[in-house]
Amino acid sequence: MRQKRYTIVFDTQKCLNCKACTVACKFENEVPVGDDTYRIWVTEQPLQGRFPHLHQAFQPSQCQHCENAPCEHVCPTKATYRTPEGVVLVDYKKCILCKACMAACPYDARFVSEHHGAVEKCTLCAHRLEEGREPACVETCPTRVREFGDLNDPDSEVYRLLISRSHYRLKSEKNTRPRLYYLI
Amino acid sequence: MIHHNRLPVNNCMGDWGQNIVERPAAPDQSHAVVLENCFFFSALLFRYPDDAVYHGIRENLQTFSDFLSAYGGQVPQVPPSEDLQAEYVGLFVNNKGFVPAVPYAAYHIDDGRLMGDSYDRLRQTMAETGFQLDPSVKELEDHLTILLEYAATLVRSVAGSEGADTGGHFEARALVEVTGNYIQPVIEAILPGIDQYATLDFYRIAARALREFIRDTAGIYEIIPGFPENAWSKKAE
Amino acid sequence: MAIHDKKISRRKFLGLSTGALAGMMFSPGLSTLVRAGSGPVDPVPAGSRQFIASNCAMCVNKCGIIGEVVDGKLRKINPNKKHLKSRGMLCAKGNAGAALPYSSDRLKTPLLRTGERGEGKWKEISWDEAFKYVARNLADLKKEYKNRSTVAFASTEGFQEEFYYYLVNSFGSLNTVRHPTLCLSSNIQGWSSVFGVYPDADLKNAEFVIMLGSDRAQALITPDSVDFQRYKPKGQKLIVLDPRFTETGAKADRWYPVKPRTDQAFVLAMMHVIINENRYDKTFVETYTHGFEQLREMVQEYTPQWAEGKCEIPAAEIVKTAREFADHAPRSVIYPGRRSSFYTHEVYVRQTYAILAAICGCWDTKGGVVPKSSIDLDAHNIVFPFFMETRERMDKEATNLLKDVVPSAVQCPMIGTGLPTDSCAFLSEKDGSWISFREAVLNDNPYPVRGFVCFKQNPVQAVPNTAKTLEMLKKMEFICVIDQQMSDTAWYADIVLPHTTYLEGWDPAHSLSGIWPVVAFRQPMIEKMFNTKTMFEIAGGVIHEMLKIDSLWDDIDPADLTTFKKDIVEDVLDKPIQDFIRHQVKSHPGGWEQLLKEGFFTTEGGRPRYGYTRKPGFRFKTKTGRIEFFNERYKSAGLFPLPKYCEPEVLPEKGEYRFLVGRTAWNTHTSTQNNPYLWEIQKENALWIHTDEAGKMGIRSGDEVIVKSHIGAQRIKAYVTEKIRPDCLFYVNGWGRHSPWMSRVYKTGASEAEILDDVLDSISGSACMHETFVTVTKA
Repeated sequence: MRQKRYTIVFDTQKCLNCKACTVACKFENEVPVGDDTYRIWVTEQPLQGRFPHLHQAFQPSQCQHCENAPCEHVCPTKATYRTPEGVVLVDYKKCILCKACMAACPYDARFVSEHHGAVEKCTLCAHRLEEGREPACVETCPTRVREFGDLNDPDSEVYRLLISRSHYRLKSEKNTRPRLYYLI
Repeated sequence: MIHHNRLPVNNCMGDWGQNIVERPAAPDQSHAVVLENCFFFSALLFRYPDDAVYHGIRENLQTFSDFLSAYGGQVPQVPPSEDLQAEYVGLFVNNKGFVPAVPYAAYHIDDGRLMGDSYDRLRQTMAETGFQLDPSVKELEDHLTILLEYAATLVRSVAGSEGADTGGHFEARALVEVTGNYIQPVIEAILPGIDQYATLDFYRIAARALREFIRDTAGIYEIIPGFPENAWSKKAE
Repeated sequence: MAIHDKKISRRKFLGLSTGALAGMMFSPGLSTLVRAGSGPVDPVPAGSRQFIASNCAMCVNKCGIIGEVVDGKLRKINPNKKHLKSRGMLCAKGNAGAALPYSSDRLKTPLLRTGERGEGKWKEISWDEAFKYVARNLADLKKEYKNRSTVAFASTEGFQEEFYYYLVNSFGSLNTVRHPTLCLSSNIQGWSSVFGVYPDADLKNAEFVIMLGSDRAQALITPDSVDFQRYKPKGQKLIVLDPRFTETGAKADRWYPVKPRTDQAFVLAMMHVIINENRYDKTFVETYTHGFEQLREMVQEYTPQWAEGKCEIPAAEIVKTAREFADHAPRSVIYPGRRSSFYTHEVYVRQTYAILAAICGCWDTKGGVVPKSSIDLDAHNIVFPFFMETRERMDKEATNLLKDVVPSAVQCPMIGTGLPTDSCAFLSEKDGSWISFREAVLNDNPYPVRGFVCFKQNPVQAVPNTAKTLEMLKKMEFICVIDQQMSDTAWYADIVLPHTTYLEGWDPAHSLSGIWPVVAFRQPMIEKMFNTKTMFEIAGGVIHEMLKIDSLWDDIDPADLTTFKKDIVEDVLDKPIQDFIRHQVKSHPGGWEQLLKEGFFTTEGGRPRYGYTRKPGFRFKTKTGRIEFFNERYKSAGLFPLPKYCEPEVLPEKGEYRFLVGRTAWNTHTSTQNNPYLWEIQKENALWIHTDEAGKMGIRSGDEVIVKSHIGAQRIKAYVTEKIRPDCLFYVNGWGRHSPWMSRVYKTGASEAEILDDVLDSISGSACMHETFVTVTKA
């Protein structure tokens, strides 16, 4: 069977800034309530223009599951690793809480989890993927901002979106080669 | 003991109120008996004071005055029943928008929600020591009063097991666990809320007495006959 | 602990061992704990995992949910991907519902007041005592006032409300009051005046959409909040009129910061353009409508230039919008929306919207506004007794009530020229009108109301002018509140009955009407945690106690009592609620099984039934049986038959701002702010004030300000922004409630009801929440 390459493709134009995804993530991954503990977030981009000519965009984001992941490179214990499908994960047992990965991540996607006694972050809901279920943030979204799928599958929605629409990746100048894509 | 409605109105209520059984304990058992009594009385103090519990508290207050003054610094006045009930509800059950002193252990141990992982572990421990909540009781097992009653029961099991092959090992560990990892976190956590929001002294003094008593239990357990030395979990130590 | 410390620490204890405590033992009786295995089996769960389908109750929408239950505990609520109404989504509130049962703040056992009202002194009582207490108080009030309507019953919508009405009808009061007049009653009234019904919008197929004052990105309504972004056809245009730049405005192709209270002018001018340029749907108008010529005549004066002067949107934009609307018809939507408790003339505003849809034939067709369909359920064939000692509901029987209610400053120009003065035109009698109802109670007009039973409603925070609501409660000799949490209203009750959460109990089936109708119900995901009951159980409990009191049944035909005991008590309330639900769905083979498995079912493959009113001979529910531009009923009632432009009665004076009301996507009214997962998103509210206005007063974001109306004042932090018109101020509801204690939500922000003026739209009975003028000063 062909190797899968997982991705999330964001169509942020559909984002309502409703925060359904962030709450779903907290429950699904048992992330504690708190302003410093989060795996995903929605940013209100700065308001453009002056009254009455205004524009505003909302950008959901999370770990970009970089193919060239700085967090992986700086980890002294190899706690951070990449699965064959390209999901960047943390082996909590190996993590020594040195926080080098938190400093290295250009996306501020990691935080210290007291519960795990380790640095943690988005796993693309790897435990749900094993059961054939989508990540919680993808599933719960009212407007389907996120599409999840296998980049190696030409029949997948993510593949179709990326060949049919322009897109970009966050902070691509950092050469991190993020695996997550944003549609224009 | 009973708890109006939420806890069953059954057999033993009168026991709290009237029937202290004058049962001479063997001298080497006396520490265990005192300990058990202190736990039982504490359970009574932190139970909803319906009529039976209220009378139980009143009638035994003198007997436990040494306990209260040793640990709480004084023996509280018992306010009129209606006032005590209002105080209990306002501190531990429901208030406008929040509960000042949440009596459920998991709330404090886990992440501010009821029935978290520590609640499951408690139920598991209870089951392993042969107990469960009376199914007619519509309360959670980690309510402070139930924890105290459970601790009292465990003290009895440990002391009664002296000389037995198992040496009450299991019960002793459970006792250490329930006092150190359940009762202590609750009482430490709720005391500030009680101090701040109580309108009467009763629960302030009772809570202070319980906190000091629980802080001392680690030292006390060692002198219970039959208490195995290896009962200390790393955490309790 | 070192050995030395242990020795010290046990000294106190050793002291006790020589005293009285050593010589006695408490009796060994255990009451809360039993030997494992000695009671009914209550095993420690281990390793079980289930997915249970039900429907959400965090707001009004009833979206499909699937609970993931691990070891008997609800770990996560997932959306039901198959659900036709919620389209497989679940919002922040729906997700946060998983925390509800595990909240320490919830009501756990019945509480009886022992101190003064609002003092916060309670005692726990058993359900038996509670049922007796309620029944006895109802009986006493009936005896004293010889009028069952002296007890008022308030409630909010919800599946269990059906059983609340079992209680209401078993007592026989006609004074009931529900939420619509705080929400959408003027909307329903206005659209119904034209089409006979209040329709939905087919946003999934519309090519052109105008939303006026509806923030569908934040005030979530399914399926609309999903469809308008997720399923909109390619190229769909969205035009938003709102004094605030909302998240919906951010999604719009064009956002017009309309001057408050003038949306009607914009739409009247659109009609002017469409009719005069012959862009309307002539065939549709001829076939289905009544009064077009009068309409044509009326709109002549409403030119785009005229409208520009009212709504401050350029005439050219109005013309452009009108042409686009007509060009895309019938796949054009003027969005009915939901909450319309805005202005005193709101019914005419909504009538105007409906007429625009009608002249362009955007009715009951793909991509237009479409009448709701619903799926029939089998009703229980029950008739409640007819009680003699009951008077007509007070806000109907009261005389000259509205003259007293509508603040004199607001009422003058309209009264006699289009608005009724005596009583409100109810949507349905049981809904009542909150503002006029409260006024009637305060004035004992026409008779005293002295009992108040409240099911899951929170009028202290929800009805404008908190001080008056508290005055109303003071008149009561008996107040009973049934709720899940100690609401602001429960705080003033004599008895508080804890309702089971929607995740712990069964709820009856309901047909959720819409373009895509479904039947939904609720089943428990987890065991009940505390000593709570559902309304089904509470109604049964109270009614059983009522049956023991003869004086409660002395004004009915004895035969009625026999029938009541058999049909209602024995056959419904004494049976398991599952029997009730099975009966409801018995005409739908497999429906019960489908409910258990999926939480909902639908019929006809879930396909919309477009066009069933566009058939020869179809009679609309209007006086003429046609779609009415000229409303014959309004004419006979002395109202404007056509939606003439209504000039504002009063305008803000210098230094005053119009106060606006709105929502966020993460809270439902005043009920969810304490949920930690939602509190985390927004910890307090803030006052939106335009940059220029703030600049004049030297107010910066984060500064404390005082917002003051003639009703009250609130202290709040400022949020200085370009996102609001300079003549308006706004903060969201849900904060700043008064409380003797300081908790996470209660100590921050400002309350809406404390400053909102109690202005009334006397056609629909609706509260008008955008008719309050406020000043702002630095604190």
